Amino acid sequence: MTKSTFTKSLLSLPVLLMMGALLVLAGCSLEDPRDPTAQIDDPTIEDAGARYVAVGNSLTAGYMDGGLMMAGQQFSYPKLIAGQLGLNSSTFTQPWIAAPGIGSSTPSDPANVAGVLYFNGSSIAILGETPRADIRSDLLLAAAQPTQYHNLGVPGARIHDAQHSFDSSGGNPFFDFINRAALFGNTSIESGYPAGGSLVPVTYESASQFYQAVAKGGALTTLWLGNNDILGPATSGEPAAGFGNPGSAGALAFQADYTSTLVMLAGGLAQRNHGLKPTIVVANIPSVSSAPYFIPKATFDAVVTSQIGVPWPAGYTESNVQYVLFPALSWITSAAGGGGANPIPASLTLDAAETTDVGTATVVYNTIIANVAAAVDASGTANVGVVNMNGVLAGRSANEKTHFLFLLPANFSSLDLEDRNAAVAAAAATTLFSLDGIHPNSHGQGVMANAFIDVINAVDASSIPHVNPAALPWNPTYGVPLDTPTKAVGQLGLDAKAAEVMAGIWQ
Amino acid sequence: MRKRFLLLAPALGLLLLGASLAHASGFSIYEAGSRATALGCAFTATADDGSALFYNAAGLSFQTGRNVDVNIVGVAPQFKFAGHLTQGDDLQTGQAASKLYLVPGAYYSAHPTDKVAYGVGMYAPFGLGVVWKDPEEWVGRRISHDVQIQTVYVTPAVSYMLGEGFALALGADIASQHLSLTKFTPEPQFGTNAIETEISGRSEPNITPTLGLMLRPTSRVSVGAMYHWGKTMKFENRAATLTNVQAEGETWAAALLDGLGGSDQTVSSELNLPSMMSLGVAVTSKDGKLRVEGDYVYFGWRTFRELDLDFGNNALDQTIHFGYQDSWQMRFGGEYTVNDKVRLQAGYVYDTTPQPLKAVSPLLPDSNRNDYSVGVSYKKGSWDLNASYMVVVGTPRTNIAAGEPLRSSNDYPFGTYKSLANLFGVGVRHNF
Repeated sequence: MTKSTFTKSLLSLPVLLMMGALLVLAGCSLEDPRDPTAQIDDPTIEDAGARYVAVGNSLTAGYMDGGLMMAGQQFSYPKLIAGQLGLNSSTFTQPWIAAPGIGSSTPSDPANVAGVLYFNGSSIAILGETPRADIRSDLLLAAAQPTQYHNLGVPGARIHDAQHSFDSSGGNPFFDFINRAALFGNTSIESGYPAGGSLVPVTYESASQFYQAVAKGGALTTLWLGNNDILGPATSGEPAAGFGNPGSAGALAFQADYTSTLVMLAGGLAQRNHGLKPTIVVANIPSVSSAPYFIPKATFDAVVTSQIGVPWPAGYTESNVQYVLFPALSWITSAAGGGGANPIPASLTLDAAETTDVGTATVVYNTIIANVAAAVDASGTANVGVVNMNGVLAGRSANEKTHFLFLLPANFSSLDLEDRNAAVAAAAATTLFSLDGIHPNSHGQGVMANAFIDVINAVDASSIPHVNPAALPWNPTYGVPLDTPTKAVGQLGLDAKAAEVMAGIWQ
Repeated sequence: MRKRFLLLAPALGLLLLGASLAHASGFSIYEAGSRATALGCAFTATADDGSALFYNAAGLSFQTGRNVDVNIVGVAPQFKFAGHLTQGDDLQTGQAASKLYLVPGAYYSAHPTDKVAYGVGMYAPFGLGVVWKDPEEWVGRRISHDVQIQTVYVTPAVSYMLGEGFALALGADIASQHLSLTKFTPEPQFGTNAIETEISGRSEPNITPTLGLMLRPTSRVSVGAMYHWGKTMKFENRAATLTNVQAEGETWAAALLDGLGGSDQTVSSELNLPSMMSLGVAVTSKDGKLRVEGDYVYFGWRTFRELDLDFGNNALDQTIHFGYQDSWQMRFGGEYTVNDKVRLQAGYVYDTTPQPLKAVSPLLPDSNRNDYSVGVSYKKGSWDLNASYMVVVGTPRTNIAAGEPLRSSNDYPFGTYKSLANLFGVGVRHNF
């Protein structure tokens, strides 16, 4: 083949077309881009909307001595944690409430709302009352704050309320005071979260605690809910049978609500905070045996005996009573007791079966809380820690879990004023619980804050310092000079109306 | 012969409707002919075939007889993405579906007198086609998972020989554009697909002038210039369809659509196309076998600032910000005549992007590009056949600056986009 013939063959049209086709088939391909993550600065706390937000119930709100008032709010465990984080009144806001505070209304006085309880030298009494119509103008000091509160603790809130309650339509006016749907508006939002390969549908309210917490965007969020799911039925004295049994409707509903709230809170915060992985610290539910509101029957019998010389003469409506609820103390001196002629009603006692129900529910619900928290933590969406508050309170001394009244000396009424003040101060410095017997006083809030701080430090590898619970003041007299005791020695107790208020807390 | 040409026209029209894909700066398509593509589209000073109607209509004055050119450039684009929707989430990747887009160029020209030449051409100088795979999962689906822009120019032009070796051409660019965009709107809190929105429609016709100049002071030197005016393509009350894609039992989308008055909406908009200007110089070797050309091309992209989508329902109104800047290209091409039948071509292009980094998005992840091209022409009698290949290599772009994503919206993914396109062209030219 000559060179010209070769060239001619090489450049013939079919060969050229074939070369072209080969070029197409051999066209260049594109390599995969690299993950650009290394080019992005890690999100920082500055990417969060807030340093710290708290979601919870009365324990979180700083409810103390049977009511919500600045004197107690300033020592709420979220406020104490915020202080240790260096936050101030602007960077950690609460729904401040003026004296005499907001407790509960009483069936005998529905036009007014009772304030906090105080010790007057003889009994636990009501510090003051406010006409319902004046609550907004006289008590809600921060109602005009244009942004959501950092402390979203709503007294009475249960886990289901976290995503679904936003106003008083369910009977709890604290949602009006704290969620303030009237200010922010509310929209029902259809949503869902992935679980088990499918989407679990959820409807939540835009003025709910959950959504406000997402909107607030805490780098750290504490979530302590579930207590009222146990304590509400327990303090009624008649917990619904089976509400805590594994697999029961109550437990399944609790699990569904807790899962939905925690999963969506984690996801919502991560989105809200530009990818900053949120830290969420939850706490479990203390046993009722840790709260002096639930008086062991033997203790109650001893108290009654010390005051009237014998155990309650008419006995108890329920048999096999394990706990007597604190408001029963008012029966010692009130007409309701009929001088011992009427038996203590079932609504003021927990029998053995009820006590088992409450105990089982506490175990089951705490297992759910631990499991859900572990699952969300394992998902990588958030760093989740669990405060074993049940264990923390169980580990405190008996005196710390004893009601203030029972820490006073038996001869309190015969002491002179100076000694009575000293006795009050000593008892107040000992107990962790406020006068309502179920909410902590400032010392108890300090203990709880430290329990949270320990878990926060473990989760975040931080070193937030503890608060000193003993240094947190709690004065059960609210500065009111002690009256000369009007009761005989050994007959310190509970005013009937105060008892009504205490019972009303849970209604 | 005229009858055969007319029979070709409907088929060409169908092909033009499928024209799309951006593979020059922004969403311009500068490959109006196969041979020009082989030369890196450095063709303003050469303009010696039908594609002169785009590259420089004054080149018609230097052609002889009547000519029909039919070209098809097949474009196989590739886009890939790796990045995130929000900081801290898992790495998400995506790639455009494998598509072969056909970009046609069809031209007729005649030279009835020594002074006057004329012609008409159909070509697609602007187009965009980015169809992302797995649209329901594609991380950029809230911005776009399927965008198509097809722009057809029909350009009649007359070239007049003003003097020896100096021609001036005047023409009209009659344009029509079809635009479609499909994306998902998420349920607001957790981002599941809720509504698929598709807007689609054809623009009103638009006419703007075009100019060409050609100066050939010697047989070996040619200088050319062309200018196509910028355009505003107007869309009035075109279809916008909002489809509820939420799973059964989810009501957010249904409630929203009820509030909007239903799925069928209308949308109006205006899309600005840039002006195009090119200056080129071509030089031929003494033996006439080698000709090289260099072109400087300038696009007036600064008019493409934003796209206002003005829906019949004001609640849906949206503005997509582009913020383009003018851009330029350097194009170089060379053609070597092997013998009477065979010519070989090669080209190189450096193409700067008009797209600011902040505007890099699933709609069009544009970038600076380096193009490399080769081609071969085969002449048999009055027929010229050409085959060409070009690879367009985009520079990877990462829309992150100073450690921060440039888009703060939860709809725009941030990360690295890569692009590449293989182009293969064929053309046939008949002189009669």
